[in-house]
Amino acid sequence: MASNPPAPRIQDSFSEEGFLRAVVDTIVDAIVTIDARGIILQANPAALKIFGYTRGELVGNNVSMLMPATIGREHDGYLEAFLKTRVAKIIGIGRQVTAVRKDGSEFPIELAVSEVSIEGNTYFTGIMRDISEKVRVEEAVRQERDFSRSLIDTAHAIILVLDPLGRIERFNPYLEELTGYAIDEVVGKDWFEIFIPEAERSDIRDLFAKTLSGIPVVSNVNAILTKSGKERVVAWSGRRLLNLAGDVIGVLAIGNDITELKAAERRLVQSERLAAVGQMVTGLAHESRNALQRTLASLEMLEMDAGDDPDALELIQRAKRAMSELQRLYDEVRNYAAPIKLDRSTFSLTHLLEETWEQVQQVHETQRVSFDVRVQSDLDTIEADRDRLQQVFRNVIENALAVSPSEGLIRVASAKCELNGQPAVRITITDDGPGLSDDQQRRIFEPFYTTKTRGTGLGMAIAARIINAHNGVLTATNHESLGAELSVAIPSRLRS
Amino acid sequence: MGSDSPKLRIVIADDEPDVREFLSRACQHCGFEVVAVAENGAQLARCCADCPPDLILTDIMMPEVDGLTALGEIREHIVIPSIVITAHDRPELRLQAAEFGAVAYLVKPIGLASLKDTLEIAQQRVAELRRA
Repeated sequence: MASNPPAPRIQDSFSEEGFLRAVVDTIVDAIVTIDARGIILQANPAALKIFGYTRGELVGNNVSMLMPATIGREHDGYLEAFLKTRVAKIIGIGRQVTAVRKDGSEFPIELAVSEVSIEGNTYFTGIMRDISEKVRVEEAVRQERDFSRSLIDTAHAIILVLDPLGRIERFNPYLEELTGYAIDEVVGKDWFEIFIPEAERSDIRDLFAKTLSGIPVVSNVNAILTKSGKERVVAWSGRRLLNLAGDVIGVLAIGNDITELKAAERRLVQSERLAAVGQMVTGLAHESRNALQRTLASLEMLEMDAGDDPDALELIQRAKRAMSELQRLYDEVRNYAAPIKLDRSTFSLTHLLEETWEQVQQVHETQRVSFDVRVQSDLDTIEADRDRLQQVFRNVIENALAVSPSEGLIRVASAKCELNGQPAVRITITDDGPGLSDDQQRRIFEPFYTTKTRGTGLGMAIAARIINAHNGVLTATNHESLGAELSVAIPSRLRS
Repeated sequence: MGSDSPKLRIVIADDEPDVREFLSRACQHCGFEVVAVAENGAQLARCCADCPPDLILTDIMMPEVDGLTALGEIREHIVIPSIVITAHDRPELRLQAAEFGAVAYLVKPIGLASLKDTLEIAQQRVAELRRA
């Protein structure tokens, strides 16, 4: 370039060439011109700065000095091949390549090469931009994105994004696991229709509208539905999402599954209440025994005096029966309110169930009802409080017996399951009676809930407390072929 | 019980008049002789010291001296089988009653039928003790 004499064409304060030189000298990009053999002819100040050479060190040397050795060795060959085949790999295309400074350090550059022909000679001009900073930022962004993604993927919390219409845009694997819905099944669908129980749906839609309007949600507790129709209790926080232009593009919601926490809270309140009731009842039971003793003492004396008056004797018997029922009620209430201390041992479930059935047969008319126990041999041995568990089974079996038709069958089956990640066994006891009504299913474990004319309504409540004390779960549903199904799930081994 | 065996002589202790009356009448009804009735543990111990019976029927919770304390005191001088009848159903009380020579521990309310059964068992124990 420098060898061409200036040819002033513009009547201006500076010539066109002068102008171009000024541009080349001040531009931040490195500009290097080579000949067809790869020898550097020109390098602008930015090139000297970026690569760390003086002009004298560059001009006259092969441009491969600016490349990593592996590429540099091939560079002359690339030039020859291009001149022969005219197939360009870089020329006229531009790409990101690695460059080498004088001190040997490598750095990324964006390289654009143009081919220039002047008077039959071919030259190449390379324009290089140091993109170290850009690459560093890109890498940082990538790392940040990977981190966010792994946070979202591994978080033990629900991360949910809805569009402004409440349609599902994305959620994390945790929610998939929690609800049984895969994201692909429900993406684009209405969140509220699928996941929010009908009773709460309109309230939650209102909350969503508020969130869109800019009011963040903090710790709102509501239930969501799993694919199998079960409810999980979730505490939500949420806020709207805006794009760079400030348009609302959706809502981000973070949810924590607090189902177990809520249940534990309920159990705690229940056990505190029971402790208070227990103290009261223990006092009451003692006083009641004294009062009952005086009543019975008087009735017995009355009976001795009544001689053979049949009407009087009959009335005395009735009073005694009423009294013994009152006594049984006191005993059961005391039993229910007393704290449960487990006395653990290892035993066979089959033996326990068969023994329980024998006991039930001794006190009840078993109406030709049969009892079929099938516990898998690998689940048969369990560590639990044998007497307490027998109390549970006796209550459940007596209930089953009470609703069994003549020639009925009470079936006991077992299955392996998990409770809070620990191996557990599930024992299901099924009858072929009329099954449980919705009300019964909901209330069967409530104290004093009973459908029998005689009974305190504490049997199943006590059974549930005993199973809870084993860190287990007692549930009541209907078997698919009608009949009630009571299911006892307890850890196979108690933790000390 | 056999008509040839002599009537067992019984001392009763309970702080409730209704219960004392019932136990007395029930024992007599069953063919036993009630030689004394006490309202507390102190009276019981005194009765037993004055005229030792064959069998003691006692409550536990009574004013001044409770039934178990009285049984312990009596046992230091003489061995008399006893039946404890109480509103308290606690393992440690049962254990202590057994240590003080109780042959039965009944939890109130107790009716005539179960008292009769227990008295018969106690009578056998008394007979065994006599032979020994």
